[in-house]
Amino acid sequence: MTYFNKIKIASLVFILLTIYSANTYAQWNVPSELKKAPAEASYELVKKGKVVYKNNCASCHGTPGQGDNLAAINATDLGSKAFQKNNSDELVFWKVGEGNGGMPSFKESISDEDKWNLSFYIKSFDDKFIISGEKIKAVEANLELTIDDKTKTLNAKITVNEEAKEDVEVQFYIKRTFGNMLIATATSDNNGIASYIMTKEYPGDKEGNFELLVKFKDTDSFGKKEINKTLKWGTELQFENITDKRETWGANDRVPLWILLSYLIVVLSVWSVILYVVVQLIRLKNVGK
Amino acid sequence: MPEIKNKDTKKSLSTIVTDLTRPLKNHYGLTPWMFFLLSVMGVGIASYIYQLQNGLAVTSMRDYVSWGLYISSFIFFIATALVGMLISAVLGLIGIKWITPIARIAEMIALGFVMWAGLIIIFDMGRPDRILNIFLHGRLQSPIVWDLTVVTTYVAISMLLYLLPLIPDMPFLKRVMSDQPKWKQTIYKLLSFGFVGRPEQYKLIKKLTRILAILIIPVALAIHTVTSWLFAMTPRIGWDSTIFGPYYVTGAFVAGGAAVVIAMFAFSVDFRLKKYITEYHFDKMGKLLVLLMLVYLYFNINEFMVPGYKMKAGEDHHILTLFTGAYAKMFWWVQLGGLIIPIILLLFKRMRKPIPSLIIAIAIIIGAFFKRFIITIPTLMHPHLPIQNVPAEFHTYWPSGVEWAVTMMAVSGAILIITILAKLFPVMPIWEIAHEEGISNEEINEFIENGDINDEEKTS
Repeated sequence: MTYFNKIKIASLVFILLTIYSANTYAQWNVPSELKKAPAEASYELVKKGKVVYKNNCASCHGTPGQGDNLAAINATDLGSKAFQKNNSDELVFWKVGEGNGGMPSFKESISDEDKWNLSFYIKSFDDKFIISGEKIKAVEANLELTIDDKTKTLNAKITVNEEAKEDVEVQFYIKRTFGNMLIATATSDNNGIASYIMTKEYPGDKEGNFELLVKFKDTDSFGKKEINKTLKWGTELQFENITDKRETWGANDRVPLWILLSYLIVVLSVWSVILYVVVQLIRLKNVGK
Repeated sequence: MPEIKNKDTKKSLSTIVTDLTRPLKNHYGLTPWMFFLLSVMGVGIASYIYQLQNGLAVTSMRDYVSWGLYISSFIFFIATALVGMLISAVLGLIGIKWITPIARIAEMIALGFVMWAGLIIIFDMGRPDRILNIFLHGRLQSPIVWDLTVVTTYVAISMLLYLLPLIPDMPFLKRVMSDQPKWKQTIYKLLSFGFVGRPEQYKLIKKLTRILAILIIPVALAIHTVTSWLFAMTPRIGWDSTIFGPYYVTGAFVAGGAAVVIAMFAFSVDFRLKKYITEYHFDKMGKLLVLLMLVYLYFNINEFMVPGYKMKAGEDHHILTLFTGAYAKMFWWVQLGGLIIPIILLLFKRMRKPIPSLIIAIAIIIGAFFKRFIITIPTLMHPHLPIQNVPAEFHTYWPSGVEWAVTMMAVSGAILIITILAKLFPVMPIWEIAHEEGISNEEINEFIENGDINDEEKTS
């Protein structure tokens, strides 16, 4: 079984288990009194809530309103009208703390403050939900990448309207089979350059290549510009396929030499004698003439 | 006690020729016999077509017992076929004279059974149309490919070893059978390979026969050793044994020896050849069988006593199933009735006479058949992981009607080949018997030119 197959099987088992537990989903048993929010919802808090959402909720619920939620395990699209209509920010706060079926309880793992921010973020998809303050508008920042292979340095230059932008966080990822692996976050200096020197060794493919992904950390503020690049900076994958060797369990073209030789010697010598006898038999007619 | 001696009555050449070619002309009783064989085969063919249409589900083979009656019959057929090598090669090469009249019979048994052994393997395949894949994609590491190679080789050598000593008989047949249908005469002419009785031709025939007789010994050992390796190369309880090769080979000699005794009896009575296959030959074959069975018994003791003494975890269950469990009845019947009692009986001279020999040989051969069943099935019933959560029918195995019918078709088919050969060619080498009677090649050639055969036939 190849490594990849193992991953496939493991993920299949995981998905099946998730579906199984998700099917234990029951109706929410909502108490009559719910906790009130300690503060008013603001765009600043909504932005903080979005980070919490991405880290804890997005893997099942997807991006709200996009319909990329995992419906198979009963994860709702939290941006949908039906959800927004029936769930106040207090109810969302409570539900996050409770959990239900496949959804775990986040009572302890997310602080109350973050849970409120999360509720505000989720409710921000409701047009009727009142949020104070100014909506943050994204500037379309530009991202350029220069690569120094010798020193393994990545310089990301951030410009807004062709002017260097200071204090912008840029994230460097390596693409992996099931998602992107964050390897560093760098902040741009006064020249607008966020710099990262790769000191660690990361595994690449058989040739040592991996896919690098660079993007802004705060995509709300700076836009969704991304850079993809294949770098040959990884360690070469040492993958020994046991069926490549000459072994008894190998395919026919990888038969162990001792078997091949023994077989050929025995078969050829026996059949050459048989052939000799047949040839002599055909010549029998003329023998002694 | 006086030794049984080969009857020392001189036979003239014309007597020999007449006696040995009579069955080729006189077909009394052949029609019902062929009808019987062909009806058994007909039922088998119908069953096999039914199996082809409905798949192997019509057999009793399921997930655990995937080698059933077919594969046990396959080993039995290969085993029976091995006797050709023992009689005509081993005994012939060390110069044993009494085998002359039975060597060709042994070769016929070898040919008939080895050809059907190959077919039985195909009967066991769920998708016989994929047989070519063994040649195209077979792995040299697999004992199945070795088996295929060695079975093919054995068929080729057995055919040649049957054919070569037949060639000097062809001039007799051409002369004696001149009143027979044309297709027969064409066969005799073709198979004579231009043999006209020149001394150099005799010499060459003898030389080639000798080469093949030497060659067939390792090949025959290989065929049955490889067949045993189909089992022994796996780590399964009951098969994982280092003595499986010789254990199979000696067992094969026992089965084949018994088959030869049965054939000897049939031919001596039905073909009126009692003058040639005498009590002396039955006596000798009886003694030979005792020797072979003693060696086989020795291997049996090793095969069952060694693990039976240790009772290793895992093996203990298998051994107990054979000794006292589900297969105990068959196991002890096979060991006692097919081996130990025949050994004891055949020690007595009276039991080596034709009729007692025949009965004992039949017991041996039935025992040999079920011995292969005992080797194949109980092991499959003891997989490394316990059988659980499967339908009840997976827990047991007894061959279905289809399997019995197809297997009986194979047995009839092998006997059919022997019958056809016996009806086309003499069952004993005329020329060798003549040589043993002290008749020279010149006399033989003279006889073929001018000898009077019709005269003898009237009086007989």
